[in-house]
Amino acid sequence: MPIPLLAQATLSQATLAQATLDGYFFGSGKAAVVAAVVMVILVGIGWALRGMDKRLTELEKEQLEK
Amino acid sequence: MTGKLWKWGGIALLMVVVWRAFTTPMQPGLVASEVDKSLDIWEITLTSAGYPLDFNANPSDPQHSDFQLVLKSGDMNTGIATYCAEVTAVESHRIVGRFTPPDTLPAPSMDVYLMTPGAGSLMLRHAFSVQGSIQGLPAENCALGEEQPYLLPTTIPFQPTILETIRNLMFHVPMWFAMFFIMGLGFVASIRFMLSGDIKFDQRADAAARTGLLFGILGLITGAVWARFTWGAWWVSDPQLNGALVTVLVYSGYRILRASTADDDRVPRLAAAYNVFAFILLVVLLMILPKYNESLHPGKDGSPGFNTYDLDNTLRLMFYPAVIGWGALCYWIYKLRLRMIRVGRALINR
Amino acid sequence: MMTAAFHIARLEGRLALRKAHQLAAIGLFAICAVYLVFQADGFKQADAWAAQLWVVYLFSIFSAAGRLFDREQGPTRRYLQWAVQPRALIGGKLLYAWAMTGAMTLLVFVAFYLFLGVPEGSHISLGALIGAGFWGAFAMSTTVTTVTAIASQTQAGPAIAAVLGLPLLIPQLILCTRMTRELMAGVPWIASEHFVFLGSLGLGTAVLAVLLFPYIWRS
Repeated sequence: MPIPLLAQATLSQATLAQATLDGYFFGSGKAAVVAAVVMVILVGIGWALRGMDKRLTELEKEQLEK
Repeated sequence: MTGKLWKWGGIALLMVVVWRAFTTPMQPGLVASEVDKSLDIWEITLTSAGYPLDFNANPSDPQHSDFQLVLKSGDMNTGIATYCAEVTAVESHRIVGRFTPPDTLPAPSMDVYLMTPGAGSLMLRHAFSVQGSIQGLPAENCALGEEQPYLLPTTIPFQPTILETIRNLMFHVPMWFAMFFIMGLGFVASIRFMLSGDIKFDQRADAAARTGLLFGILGLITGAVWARFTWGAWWVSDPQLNGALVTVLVYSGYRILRASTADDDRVPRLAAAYNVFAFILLVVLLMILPKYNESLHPGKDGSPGFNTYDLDNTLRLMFYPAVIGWGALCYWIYKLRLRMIRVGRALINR
Repeated sequence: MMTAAFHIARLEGRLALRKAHQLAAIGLFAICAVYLVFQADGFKQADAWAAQLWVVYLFSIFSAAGRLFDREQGPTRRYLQWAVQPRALIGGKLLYAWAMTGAMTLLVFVAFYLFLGVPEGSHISLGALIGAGFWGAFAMSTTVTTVTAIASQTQAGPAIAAVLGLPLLIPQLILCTRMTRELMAGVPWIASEHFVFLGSLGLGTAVLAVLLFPYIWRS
């Protein structure tokens, strides 16, 4: 299946844009910021899941007692 | 205690993966070339991506003699010719060279090789073409210098067109793996429900379908973003992508099927039948169809994939933990969903 | 069991003919859809032509097959559960569905052929086109029948059938379009991989349907 023409036309532009973006991204330390943000999100997800875990354990206990 | 260990272990693994994936630089690689042919001596400007080219360069050398820029033309059939270019300027992601356009060339297109001090040898195939040259081998070839040692710190590999987005490998691919793992659990649960009629298997299948759907949607989103950067479009027609979309649609259908019947006794049986039917068709679609038709998607014939020769050790050390980490997270969500369904059921029955 | 299946298929056919107005409505829908494509200046290039043909056909059979299990409700259902083996019943339904959707290809493809003609430079006769239609109808009808069987057990039958069935028909649609394009390009039947794959997909689905149906049929 060939790539659509539109995709081919924008391919080289995207490539060029990235080449310059890259130096900026790493040189300025923004990559570390992105990584840190993603890590915070991950911890948040973990925290939310842990909360649900606890709440469910309580509910299960309640049901067992009844 | 072990229960907590795998849950937080998975999260911790993912954190390490994320940190390493985003902060490990990419190997340098040439991405574009531009040739100014207006003068007798042509000027070529090369753009690179990844780690800076001038890493380890000698700043007090105006001749940039530690760099070597070589143009190559031809192949085994036509004979190979190499031409030396003089390096005039070196920046972190740009290098400029000058060369006298050759009178004779074995082939109209030229490849570029750049030997750098410390950052390895870089290549750009079909960097530019020379029209109107006479076909033939030149009298003399450029003498190649010695291979210089590779001094870069840990880097992730350079892949043309994928470039920096290769980091998405730690998100997109493991999400599909996790989805398949959990859908597989659901399929087995549905079969066991059909054989035993035990409602707990139906609850497992329900939880698995919901969790799998979540990861399927995440996989679609990460895939669309990746496709935009590498193929230039959010969505292209491709067997692999069709299969992925069908999967998400089918499991959305499963949710609707479960929700659309008030008659509680018949739902589990219908859902199990549909799950078994759909899963078998999906395995055919996702595993056989893309192999059978041409696919742009990596990992299939005819396109560069992340297989044995592409996935180097640095990537592997991130990718395998990512698979385990996302799998653990997926399983955790599945377990929670299952317990929610059970608790809800018990509340209704009371 | 095979004889029972044939018997049920024949019975289905007779009952359908007795309610001819329903068949006529489906046929009208199909012809209107073809005419709509014609009026909308449908694409004349071979690729788009084949795709349009199958998309029109796909929606036509959905309107037809969505009612496949309408009769099996209430007392009729209880009677059938008592009198007929479920595997024979689904076998009969599959056979009838193939026959009916096959007849639909006749209608849709002939209408398509008459209104839109065949794209220039393609080597396909009306006979070969209808043959491809029958083969595609086999692969599609098995999926539609299975999904309708499941959907008919819920309260919102036909709507659910479309939601459950359309995603599963995307690959069949792709294969049918490719097969038609190959035939148009002059590839012989036997050499068409899509032809073989479509057949095995249809057969596999039919086997799955026969295996699964008893579970949803019991009450």
